[in-house]
Amino acid sequence: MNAEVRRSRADVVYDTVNVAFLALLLIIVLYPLYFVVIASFSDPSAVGTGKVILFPKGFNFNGYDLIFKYDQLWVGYRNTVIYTIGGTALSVSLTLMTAYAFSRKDMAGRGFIVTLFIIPMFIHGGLIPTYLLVREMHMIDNPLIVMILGCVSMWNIIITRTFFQTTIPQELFEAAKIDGCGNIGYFTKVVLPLSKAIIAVLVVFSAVGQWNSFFNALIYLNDRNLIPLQLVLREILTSQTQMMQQLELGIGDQDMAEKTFLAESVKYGIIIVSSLPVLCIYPFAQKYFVKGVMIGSLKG
Amino acid sequence: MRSKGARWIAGVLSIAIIGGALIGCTGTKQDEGNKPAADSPLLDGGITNATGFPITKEPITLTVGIAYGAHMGDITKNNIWKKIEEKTNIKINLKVYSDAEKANLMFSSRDYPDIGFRMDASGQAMSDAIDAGDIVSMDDLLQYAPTWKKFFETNPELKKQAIMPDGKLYGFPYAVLNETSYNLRDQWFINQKWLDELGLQIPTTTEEFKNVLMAFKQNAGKGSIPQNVIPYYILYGNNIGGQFDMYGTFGVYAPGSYYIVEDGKYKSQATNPDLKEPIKFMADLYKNGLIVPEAFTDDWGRYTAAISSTPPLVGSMTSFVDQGQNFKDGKWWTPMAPLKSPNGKDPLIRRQTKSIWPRNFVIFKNNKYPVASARLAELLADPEWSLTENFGSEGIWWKKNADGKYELLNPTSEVADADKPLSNYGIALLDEEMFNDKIVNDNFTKEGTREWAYVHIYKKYLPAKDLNYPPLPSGLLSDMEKQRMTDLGQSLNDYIKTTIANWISGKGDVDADWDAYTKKLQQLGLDEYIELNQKQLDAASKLGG
Amino acid sequence: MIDRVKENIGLYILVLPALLYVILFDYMPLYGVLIAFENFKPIKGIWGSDWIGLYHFERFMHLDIFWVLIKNTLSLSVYSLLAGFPIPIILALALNSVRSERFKKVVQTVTYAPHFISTVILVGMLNVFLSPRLGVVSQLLNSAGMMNGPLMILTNPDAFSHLYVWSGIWQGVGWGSIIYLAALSGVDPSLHEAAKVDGANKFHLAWHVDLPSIRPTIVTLLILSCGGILGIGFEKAFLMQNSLNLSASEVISTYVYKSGLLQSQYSFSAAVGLFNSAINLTLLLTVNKLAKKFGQSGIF
Repeated sequence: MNAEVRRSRADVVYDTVNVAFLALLLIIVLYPLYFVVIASFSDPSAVGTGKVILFPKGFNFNGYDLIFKYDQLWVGYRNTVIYTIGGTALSVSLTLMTAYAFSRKDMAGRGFIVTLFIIPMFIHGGLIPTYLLVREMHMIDNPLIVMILGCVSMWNIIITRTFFQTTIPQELFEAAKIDGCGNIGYFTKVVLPLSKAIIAVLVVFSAVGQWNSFFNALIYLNDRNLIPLQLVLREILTSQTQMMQQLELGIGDQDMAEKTFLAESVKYGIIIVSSLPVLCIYPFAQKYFVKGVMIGSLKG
Repeated sequence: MRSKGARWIAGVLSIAIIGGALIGCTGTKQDEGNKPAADSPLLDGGITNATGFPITKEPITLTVGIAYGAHMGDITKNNIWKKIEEKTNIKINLKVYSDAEKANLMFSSRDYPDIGFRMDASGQAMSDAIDAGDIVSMDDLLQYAPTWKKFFETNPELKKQAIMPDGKLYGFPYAVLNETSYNLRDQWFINQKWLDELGLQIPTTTEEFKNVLMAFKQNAGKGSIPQNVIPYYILYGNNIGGQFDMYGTFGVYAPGSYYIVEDGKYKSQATNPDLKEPIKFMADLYKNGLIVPEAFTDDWGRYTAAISSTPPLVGSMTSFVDQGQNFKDGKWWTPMAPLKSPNGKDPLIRRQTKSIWPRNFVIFKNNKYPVASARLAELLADPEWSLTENFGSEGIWWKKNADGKYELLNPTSEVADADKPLSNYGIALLDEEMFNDKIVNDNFTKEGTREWAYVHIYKKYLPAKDLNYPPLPSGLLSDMEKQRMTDLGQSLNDYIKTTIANWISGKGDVDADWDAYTKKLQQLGLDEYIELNQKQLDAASKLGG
Repeated sequence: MIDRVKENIGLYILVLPALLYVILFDYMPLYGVLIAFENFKPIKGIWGSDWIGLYHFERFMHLDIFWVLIKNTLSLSVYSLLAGFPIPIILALALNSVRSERFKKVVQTVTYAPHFISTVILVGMLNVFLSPRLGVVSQLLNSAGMMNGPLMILTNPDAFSHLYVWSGIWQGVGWGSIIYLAALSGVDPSLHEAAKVDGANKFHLAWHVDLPSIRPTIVTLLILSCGGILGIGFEKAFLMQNSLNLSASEVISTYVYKSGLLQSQYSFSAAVGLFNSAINLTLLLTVNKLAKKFGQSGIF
């Protein structure tokens, strides 16, 4: 009885401190996010001169008007959704397959193959030879290329392998082998169902990565109907820098000065337009971070 | 170079004559529907007429590469391509590089179009392509482009900017030489409304300027002066809106960097002791809160936000563009002359470099119709075509008056992509004579516009000689020398920038630290840097005779 | 050997697709590293450009500013690692022991959102908040009487690393905790039950049960982080630079960017990249070895 009380008192203290810490963190993170929202509706000169603090100043939709005026935006959205789904499916399956094999200590030559995968983390040929290769393969303007390039990430593979090694006991495989289960069968029927948490993480990582990427599309896609959202938004944003360069060179005009100013108002809106959809992936993925999956499987 | 005044006038005169003749020509040509002479020889393998229009006997297609940011609109929709096809039989197939990275890759993979307009690839990429023989020299083609030929002959200084280290020309230029535009860098504005409210005059000396700024600060929160007023706004270190005009007002010319070229000699202004005074003056302004710390932290976005703030936040600033408020109610900003300083030197204002974009129309070696291409460049140099190329469609951006002059218009509604100008993304030939005699621009009579301010205020404060570093072609130095120059320039600039910023913001004293500063510059290789630049200049001056 | 391969043939089939990718897109273009030793001219190609050996490496190491660059880069990344590495772990542990599922979800999702804010905006917000006179912080401190005059934090070279690192933590803490949360979901609940019976409070559970359970994941990530230590990206440091903090804010990548701005300095940047990789690889191997020495499984 005594012990019971003491324990829960310690727990109460712990819980209070814990919640207070998280609440503080929440506020620290929340305010700048809130600021992005109000800034996107405010007059950019009010934002720039510190007048926007708690409420929008000079409330307007100019930034959003400019973004949504862009016809390419919707084409970009469609493409990005396709690339994200395709790229994520590809990347997550390759990562899981490779990571599982690498998690098995009894795989002969594992050290050599892993090393083969690690070297490119540090040494790469750069843009030009890759571009020439892609051209050789006739993959320029082929949307597959933006899903394929970067689909194997050694970083993700290593993380996933660690997960397999720590959460899935080796004995489970021995047992399955006796039941006549081969490596691939074991991987698909036993390992994958036990790995929902890491799969969820990989989906979040790849989907967000793919959603935010623009460089490969910039280099390998010329067709305006294929370009993804981030490239469209980048075009709107870089216009500011480009126009500034023009002004620096002395070839700008009044109209251009006003446009650089308008671009300033677009910056915050772009963040919102481009990240809202992908923000929703995470709460969905959290569902799979469930405790006790392992136990159930062992018992069943 | 400026001393060759007589030659220059001769050049202008000859252009005037030719220009006049050409304008006459176009009018009549169009009326007659100009059929090519029956006996004209055919070139480019029997396709191209040597004279007359259409340029080619049968329709051909040329791929034109152009680096054009997608945000500026859809350049493929521009009317000019259709106009070209109707007139010349040449269908233009545009290949748009929406990013400099793409243009660079085009060069590295040698996937060339037939013609390159503005490419935005690095100067190195261009000169490498020329070295490799991938770009056709103009020497044999200039005969088909007599207007351009004449242009280069009559403008030897501009030709020098275009000529490559092997002494040859490799492109047709964008040559729009508007004196108001190239001869003035920033205007210096003062807030007229605040002056009026406080009953003050436009300052003419540095001391008066300081007093005015003090008054702005002391009256913060009164009338239309906001509480958080920025009395004098500079974007430190920036070419536009930076501190360089303040140096000028003390008679030290620094065109946006600390290097000038005087009579062919490359010089550093960073070690010029006369720089100490303007720095001390600015340090004083800073100490009194007249220059604010944001001068060192603002980026371009916040700079625009600060100077565009309505109602204004800024008392005085230098700016490249006309201020919007001038157009709206004509009350806020007044351009003012550079100030007289206590050192008695003539105050100066900065000028830009009179320059052309020398390779905005290059012909790649895979082009099967070089003569047709050159004749196309010739067509684009025609005055009316050039007006369309540089300003936009006739009737919207400009119109031809009964007296044969061209009046510039300010379109009030948004302009469709079809009618937008190509400006410096293509080529055009509009020289000083054209701007002085043939183009009517209302702004010259509107007080407060850049054009007006140039004529009425700034022209007399330009330095007598052109001190700006001229644009040079790539490839005058060896690669190693150029890399060395880049490394030295980088560390010198960083050091100069930080040191002067420290002085202005009160960390350190310019008088006490000056010797250590110049010594450090020597140690960082200032002399070697100057030598390398001088070598490059000398190599350039030998080009083209 | 062959028997062992045959026995686990399924594992090789699982690795094969990723291996093909690595060979095709990582190894085929690898000859591109040669440009670090050449006076590379795109026109002449990688095979045709002039060989100049270690010229670019010497050029880099003989720069006046070389040691400043190394010092700035190292101190930023070591600081980032020391401060930035533990915090996502703490957040994950704290979240893991929150009782209210809803609160947990809210904190999780909100702290993850800043990941989607682009660097340009992040630095823009820093400038708006910390602006010397007009920033929120300056206004607050001045009106609270805690300060008189402008806030000079943006121009202070000594403050640069703090701003850089802590804004990075603000942006990355939620994102960084994802992987730990997933790993925590694999902790066997029966361990908690057993510990509770032994009288452990919640703090004990987090410290003595949860933390050791995710140790392999922590070690793996730590090793990987050490392999990226010189990789301070250019964008953020570049955007945060101003003429007064240059002595602290010039790092390897910003220098390379600026000196390559005028010409296409493919060779120079490749050489510097290779220099970075060599150091990073050495670090990775060292830490990996150390980890193994202390009884942890390394990444290979």
